[in-house]
Amino acid sequence: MATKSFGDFINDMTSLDVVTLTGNLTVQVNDLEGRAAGGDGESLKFGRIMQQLEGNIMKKDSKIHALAATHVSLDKDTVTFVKENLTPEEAVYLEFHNETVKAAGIARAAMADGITKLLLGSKG
Amino acid sequence: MQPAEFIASCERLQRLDRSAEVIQSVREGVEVAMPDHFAIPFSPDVTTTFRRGGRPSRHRRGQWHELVQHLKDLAYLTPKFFSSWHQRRAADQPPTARQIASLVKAVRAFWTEDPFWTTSLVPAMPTQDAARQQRWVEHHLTELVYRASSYTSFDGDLSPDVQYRIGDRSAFGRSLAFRMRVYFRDYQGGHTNSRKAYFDRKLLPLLYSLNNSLGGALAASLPGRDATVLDEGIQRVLLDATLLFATYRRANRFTARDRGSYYLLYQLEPRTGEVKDLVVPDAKEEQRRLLRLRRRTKRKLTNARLYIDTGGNRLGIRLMQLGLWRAGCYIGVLDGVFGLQSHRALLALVAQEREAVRPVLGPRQLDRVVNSVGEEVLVDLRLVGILLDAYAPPPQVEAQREEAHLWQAIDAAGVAETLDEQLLDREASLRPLYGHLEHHPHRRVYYGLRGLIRGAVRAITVVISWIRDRVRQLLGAVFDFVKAVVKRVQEAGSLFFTGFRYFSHYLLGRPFISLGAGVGEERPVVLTRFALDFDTVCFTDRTASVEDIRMHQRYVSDMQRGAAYFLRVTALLIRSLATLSAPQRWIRLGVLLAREVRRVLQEVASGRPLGRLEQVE
Repeated sequence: MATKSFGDFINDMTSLDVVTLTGNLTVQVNDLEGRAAGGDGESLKFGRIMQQLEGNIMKKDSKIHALAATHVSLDKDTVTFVKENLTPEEAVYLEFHNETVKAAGIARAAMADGITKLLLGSKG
Repeated sequence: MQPAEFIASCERLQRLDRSAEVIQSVREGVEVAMPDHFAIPFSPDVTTTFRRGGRPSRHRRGQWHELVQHLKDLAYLTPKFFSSWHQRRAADQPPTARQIASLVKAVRAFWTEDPFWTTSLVPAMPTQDAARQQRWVEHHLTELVYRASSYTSFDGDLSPDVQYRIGDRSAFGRSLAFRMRVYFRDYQGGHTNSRKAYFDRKLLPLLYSLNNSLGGALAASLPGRDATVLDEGIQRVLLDATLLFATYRRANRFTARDRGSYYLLYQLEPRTGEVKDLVVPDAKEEQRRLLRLRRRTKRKLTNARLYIDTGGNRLGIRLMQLGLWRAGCYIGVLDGVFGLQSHRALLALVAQEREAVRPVLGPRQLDRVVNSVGEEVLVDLRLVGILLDAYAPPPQVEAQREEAHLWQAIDAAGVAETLDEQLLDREASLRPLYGHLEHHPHRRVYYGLRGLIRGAVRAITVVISWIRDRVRQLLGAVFDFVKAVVKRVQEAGSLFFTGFRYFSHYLLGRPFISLGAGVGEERPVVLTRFALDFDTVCFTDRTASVEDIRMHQRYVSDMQRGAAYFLRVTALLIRSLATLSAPQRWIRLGVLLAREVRRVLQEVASGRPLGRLEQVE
């Protein structure tokens, strides 16, 4: 399958899906070159963390669980699936999930039109 | 990776090709090659920036130093703070947490007083939460330096403000007060941290003094005791040192067209031996020439109008120091005292002009600029004025032409290939020329880009010799050249890198990752990843605490606030990169990119929507 271009993706943005997963993924302090927690500093090995995460998901005995998933369609109908019997800690994750849904929606609205035109040099 | 390959990838990205190959190539160019060649870390955070060692960091550190200088000049920071900041720098130590906190607080004050921030697309600085404020400063360092530098510019970068009212507590009011300090007050009563922050009515008498020094040129527009507005013409004179110097010279009749002689006579400390050094010829013919010159100088001195003083502020000398400072020759305080530093700066300027491609004074005229008469030194101010005119920052269009000429000359000399390495290797040797700011908090470094380019162009042969490693003379053109190139790549790298982080997170699938506090060596991962269509995956490690998740949310939320602005800026810059003719070397690419960054910053400052698009938020 051919790789999708920006344009294809932006044309396809008729819906939005947000999935929140929980599981086990930690990083050793020694790997961080003395960097403080938080932020997205360059010394974090993004690729490695993502590979580790994807590896965990693919495992048969994966300990990764979906906690919530939200589907927002073009007409703004929203469906959210939430894991049953949330623990108090997981309730915080759900709040995080809901915030992300909001953020993704705003970001998408902001980016969809403008960036393509700016890159291509269209006068809008 | 070569610049040509990077530009080709940008061109494909600009055509909306999002293949893995293109993304990998663009990311490698921005995140690896550029940081290495520009000596700017990709990550903008303070910890990375001030970490010493193998990783590039010094040019982004330079941006912090420049910001500190501007905020000190505008009295958001004290000279004492400035001194302690540079003590840490001189000791190769990062600034303390307290210093960073004070600086962020000063930025916050600047932010509230500069209308730019509320009328542009740049997201607002957070009102609370020191960590978020610091992150905002880190991300907007280029814009901050750009704005603050306009308020301290003597090159006419700041336009008169017709809305300004005397006594306004604004960045513009601070800028006017700063100029009054430089032209009148500073350093006469000793060094102090206590300074008048804003221009107000108590400073009005100084405008009358200025008018006297300018031969009544401002008389018609001087404000009365109860005035609320400051005439636009007076503002313009205060904001543009070239205009002020020209007015001063007209008033005192030593412009290039004037026929009379106008001199500055001074004595140096007897033990320096500098006067003697002026006349140490190594050939008989040269000895005879200098003796003739001295006799002629004596005759002229007998009948000349002598420059004695123009009031307690010594405006004439201050303006001359300012001209020498802009020419890259003077690193001392602009204090109206013509001492050894000023004397050496003048000699350096004359020496440099002898090697200028298109000198404005002939060799005999240059001989007459500075001469000794007994134990005293006599300076021909008319000739100095002509020299300083030649080094005054040109208008924008001319500066662009001169910059193009500068690079053509470097290409023609065949030294373009060695420039990148020389700049990285030899830049450190210029460090002492920054004036030991840790000991001299009232000195300042000149950062005006147009002036730096002009200085470098005037003695391009010296610059080329420096690149070839064949010149020891570092003041003047070489200093100007290095500062201009460094400033260019600072602006290019810093803004583009920061913007590219947003671009990468939102449009290239790079995840936002936070690490929680954890227990022992283990740190829980909290992660958010947007796909291009904004389908999103969040992941939290089970051991992440509520606070860990909140921290991650704050982080993503901060990035969200800046996304609209940075994505637009970055898209414009990628589009510009895609249209460039690929240069051979990275530094040159940095300079070309920097010109686009300046253009974008000017567009941001204009308050118009970037790229003609409506503001989304």
